[in-house]
Amino acid sequence: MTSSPDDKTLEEYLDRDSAVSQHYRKLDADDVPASVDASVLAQARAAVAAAREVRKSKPAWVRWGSPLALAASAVMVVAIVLEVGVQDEVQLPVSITEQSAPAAGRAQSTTPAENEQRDLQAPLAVTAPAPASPRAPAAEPAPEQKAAAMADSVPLAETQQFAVVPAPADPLDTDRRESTVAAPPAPVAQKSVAPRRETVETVASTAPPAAPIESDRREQEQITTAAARERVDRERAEQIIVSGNVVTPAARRPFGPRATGAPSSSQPREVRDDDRIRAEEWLDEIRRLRDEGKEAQADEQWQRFRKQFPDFVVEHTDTALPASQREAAP
Amino acid sequence: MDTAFAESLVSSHELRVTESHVDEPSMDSAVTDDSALMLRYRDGDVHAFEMLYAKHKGPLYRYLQRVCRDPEVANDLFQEVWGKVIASRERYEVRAQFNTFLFRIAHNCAIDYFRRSGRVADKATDVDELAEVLPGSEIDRPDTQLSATQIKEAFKRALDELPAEQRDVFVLYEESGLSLEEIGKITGVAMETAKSRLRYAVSKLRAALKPHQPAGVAS
Repeated sequence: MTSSPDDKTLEEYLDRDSAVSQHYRKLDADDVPASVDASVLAQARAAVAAAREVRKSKPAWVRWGSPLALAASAVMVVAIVLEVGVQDEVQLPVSITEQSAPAAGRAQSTTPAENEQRDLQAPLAVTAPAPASPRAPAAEPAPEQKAAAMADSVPLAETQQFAVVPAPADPLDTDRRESTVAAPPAPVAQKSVAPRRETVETVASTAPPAAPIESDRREQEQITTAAARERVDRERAEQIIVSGNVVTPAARRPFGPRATGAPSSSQPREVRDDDRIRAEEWLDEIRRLRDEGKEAQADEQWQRFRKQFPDFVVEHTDTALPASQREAAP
Repeated sequence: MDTAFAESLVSSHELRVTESHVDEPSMDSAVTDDSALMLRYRDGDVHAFEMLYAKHKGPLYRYLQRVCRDPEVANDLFQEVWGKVIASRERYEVRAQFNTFLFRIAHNCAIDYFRRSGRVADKATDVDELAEVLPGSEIDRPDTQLSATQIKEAFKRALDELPAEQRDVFVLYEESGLSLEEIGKITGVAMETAKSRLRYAVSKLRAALKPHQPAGVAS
């Protein structure tokens, strides 16, 4: 197809001295119109001027504005992500405490009258075992969660333990008292509002049975005693929440009477106060029986009292003492 | 010029100015000067651009005139080409001769123009077939006596009747002074293809001049 003469012609042409090239250069060619020249040059100058204007109108901080804004945004996003992550980790234990705290708050804020009303609605809940909380986790909670739950529920459990002390109103119910006292404490996670209700109910039920004829003074004393017990429970709950101490029945058992000795350092003070109040109530009941002439019942109660509170100091002239042990009042 | 020509050069159209990866092993001082002028203009020296423009405006304008064969279109394309050179000054890098850079833009602008205008296609698309179609049949008549002006007109007619690809390569070779390899890169074809097109174009033009040349005159 391509002949060698064509190749030769091309080689001659590529030397740029062929007749074809000469004829091509002789062709008439229009020059660039002046208007086109002016337009192109004006465009070139305008582009340079515009670039200079942009550089002048843009200070250094504006040129660095975009990178700085980008860096600031990145830092802010990282900070937010870290903050949200930390809050998520902390929020779970806090939420558990917040969920339990209102229950305790409600129980503490209720007045004795409200407690009595609630006791009337559920009188059998006194000996019922503590129900498992629906929020109780199936697995072992995290240490923080466990501590928070313990701080919230332990005072209530402690209240339950104190509330089941033998009630002078029913001194014959030995089996119930023993079983209740010997009952192991409920798991921490299962203690919630229910133990608190039990306490209030016990307070009402441990009150001495209504005598056929009761003086206003004795009613006033009962109300005062219930209120004092509520206050003591509340203080103890608050103290245990703050200190984190859990008072066991064993630690509660040895108590000193009000008139003797300084309290042991390992023994919380409110424990002794609570038992002292209970012992005094019991003594009041014994005195009342003696006043009513029920010496046999009074002696039996005294024996039980002494068995329960062997260290409690009773004045020798106290009418609660049996006649054989009592000295005549001066 | 036609759409078939435009479509045949699609690949070359894809090669934009800023995507040029032409590496010239040997750049003479003129090339370096042109690139230096362009770099100076990039840095804000308008006088450098004026020098560059004065040097290259003639070849570029003639190229556009020969390829488009319409002065108005050539004017528009001429301004468009220089406008793109101005706009691309910020991205300009010395990767090739300034001529290559400039005529690549011009070639692409011409292709765009042909696409937009949708001009009627020429008959032949195969350069081998076009080799058989030689212009200037009238001037081949032995009894025709033509003056120098008539010879010029005959040559111009033969040039205009060349297939677009052959005319493009021929005019590029004449006006830009680039090598066939560079022309192949500008037009988006292999160097051998560009050489073949140039060969047929030269043959046809030489054939158009042959009746008017005395015997023994070299081509």
